[in-house]
Amino acid sequence: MTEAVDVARLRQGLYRFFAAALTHPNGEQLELLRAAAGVLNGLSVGDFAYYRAWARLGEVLGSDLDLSELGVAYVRLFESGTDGALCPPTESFYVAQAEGGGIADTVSTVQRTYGALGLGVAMGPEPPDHVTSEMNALSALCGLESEAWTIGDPAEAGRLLAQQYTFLRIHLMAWFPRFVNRVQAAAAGSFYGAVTAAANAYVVHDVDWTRAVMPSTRTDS
Amino acid sequence: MKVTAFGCRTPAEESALGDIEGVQFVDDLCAYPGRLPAGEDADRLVLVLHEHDYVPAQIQRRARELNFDPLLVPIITWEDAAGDPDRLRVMIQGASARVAELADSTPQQAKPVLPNRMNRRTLLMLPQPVYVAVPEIDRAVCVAADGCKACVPACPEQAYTWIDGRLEYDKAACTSCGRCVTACPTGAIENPTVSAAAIRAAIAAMVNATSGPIGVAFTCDRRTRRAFPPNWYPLDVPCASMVPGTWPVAALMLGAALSSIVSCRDSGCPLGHDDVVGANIGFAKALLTAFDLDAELVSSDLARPIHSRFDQAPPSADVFGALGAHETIRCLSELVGRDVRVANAAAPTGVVVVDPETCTMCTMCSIVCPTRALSHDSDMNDLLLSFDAGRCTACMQCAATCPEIERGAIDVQRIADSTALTAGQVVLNRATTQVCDMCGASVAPQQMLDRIAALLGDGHTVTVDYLSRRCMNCRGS
Repeated sequence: MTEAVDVARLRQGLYRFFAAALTHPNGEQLELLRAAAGVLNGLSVGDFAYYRAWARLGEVLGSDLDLSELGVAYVRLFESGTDGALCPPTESFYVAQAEGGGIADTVSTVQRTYGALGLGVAMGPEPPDHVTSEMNALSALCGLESEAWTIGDPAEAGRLLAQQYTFLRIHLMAWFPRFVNRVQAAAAGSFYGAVTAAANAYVVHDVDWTRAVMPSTRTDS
Repeated sequence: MKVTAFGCRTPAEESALGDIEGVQFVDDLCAYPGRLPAGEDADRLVLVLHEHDYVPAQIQRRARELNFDPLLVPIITWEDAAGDPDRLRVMIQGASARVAELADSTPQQAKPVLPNRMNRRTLLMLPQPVYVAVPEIDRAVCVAADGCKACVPACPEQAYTWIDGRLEYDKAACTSCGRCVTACPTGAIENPTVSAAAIRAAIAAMVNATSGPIGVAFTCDRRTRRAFPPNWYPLDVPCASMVPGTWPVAALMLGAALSSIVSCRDSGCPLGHDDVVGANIGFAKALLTAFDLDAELVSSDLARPIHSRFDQAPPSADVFGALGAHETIRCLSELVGRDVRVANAAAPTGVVVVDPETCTMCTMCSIVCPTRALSHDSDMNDLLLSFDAGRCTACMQCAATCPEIERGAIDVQRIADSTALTAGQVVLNRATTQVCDMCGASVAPQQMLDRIAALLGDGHTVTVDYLSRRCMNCRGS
């Protein structure tokens, strides 16, 4: 048995970790990622199905990583190239591919969703539909959920779990697997290949997890 | 692929049985899975444990820590082996051969399972999740976009739905019975614990590991039944109802003396698919009877004495794959040297019959046919509708799509017809297509135009004439 609050904290940490790993790399960030991985390993991460992909990422993170090569790979994959980024890390790109529609429509939809969830959007370098923004939003919801468990308010925790599930289903899962497929096709053996494989295993699991523990799918007895 | 086997045994079992080939024993492994040693240079793991002494979530966790895929760790219990070291050795060889043929599961194929109910006390505590293997659709192979929906009616839990032009799969609704896996005509639905190569390898390994005749029983991996009669070996599948009638027949051809599909009737299985199991066994028996073989070679009665093996050369074809039923019937027909025709509601093969009088040659049936058993070909002004029984899985998609089904334009008969299976393509219907006066392109088959004329009735001669002479692009110009 694990305390629900610990699982919420682990999930909060993992979303923050993957968001950080998918921002432009620098030396300090790499050290922070290594330290964070150590902390998360101390939690109950081994209980969950994504552990193997997580452990493989840990091996890659523990190896000698050339920061300048990482920077080049990051720009090539996620930021720009002769024909644009190889793997744009934004929801609007994939929604436009699948359903048409403009980038601005998706961005404003995501922004409205953040507002409805009670989350403010800090003006940063990444747009609201960027993978890091969506993962940070989920991390924030997990953080609120862990607070609810801490003060003994399971109803509020359940409501937050339902919000996470809905956000995952409608937003992140609607495009993230396709983004991951592109990264795997372009750079499976790289650091970002390992990051996205682990993040995908985690996100896919988290959809199932939130659905499984959500109050609407469980009954008090 | 290297497979390693570890086991747990009591001191009494150790003194009674001594060493068992191929298994390394670890004291109290059931209670302490952390004792499984790290550093094993193996890709797959097989475990021998005691039925009620281990916690599945803890076993899965340790497997994960050692970089094994927990969904691909078969657990053989001492109860399965009835404490018999020879039996245990055979089961380990079967399980090892099987997992060696399986590919790692994907994140989509793992489903966390938590207790359904919790109370106020356990609300703040979460149990370690246990993961079960569930299927995943290979979108590159799935032909749902062309019209196939064979998985939708096959699923007893309505986990598959067709929404907004896309096949959706609800993992939460799925009970992992595997019916979709065997119903999919193209093999696009994959459960990581089952593959044609793995089932074949397991049977072959168990047969080769014994000198005498054995029985192979396809059983549900959630079964509560553990004790099988001597020389009967369970072969776990996600649910017995996923096993088509040709699988136990194929097991005979691979060297089993008897085979069976064991339903969970006695264990109160909540899935309750006994009727399907019974129908599939019935088909296997009907097939054997038609080939003048003993119908009791496939039986739900495991108390039958086991005699000699089904002494035939094993088929080289893929008898457990998407078109495995066809291969099984073809191979059996060759081995026995006779043709059969068995009509049976559980037959996984079919024959399509088209009525040339009512078929309008719209070719919708061939467009949706997932295996291309139905196909159409046009040559100048001729349109041909052809059928290859060797590819028909009786998925009924053609009948579901036919706009003239009520007039009996098409019929799918569930038949194992060895002659038809080897006949190749036969022409079911042909039509002359009208040609556009303006551009020379095909307009429509004559039967279709006749049908339109009949539906419009008298007084529309000019319209029909116009429709017959102008293609879609040139109408109105």
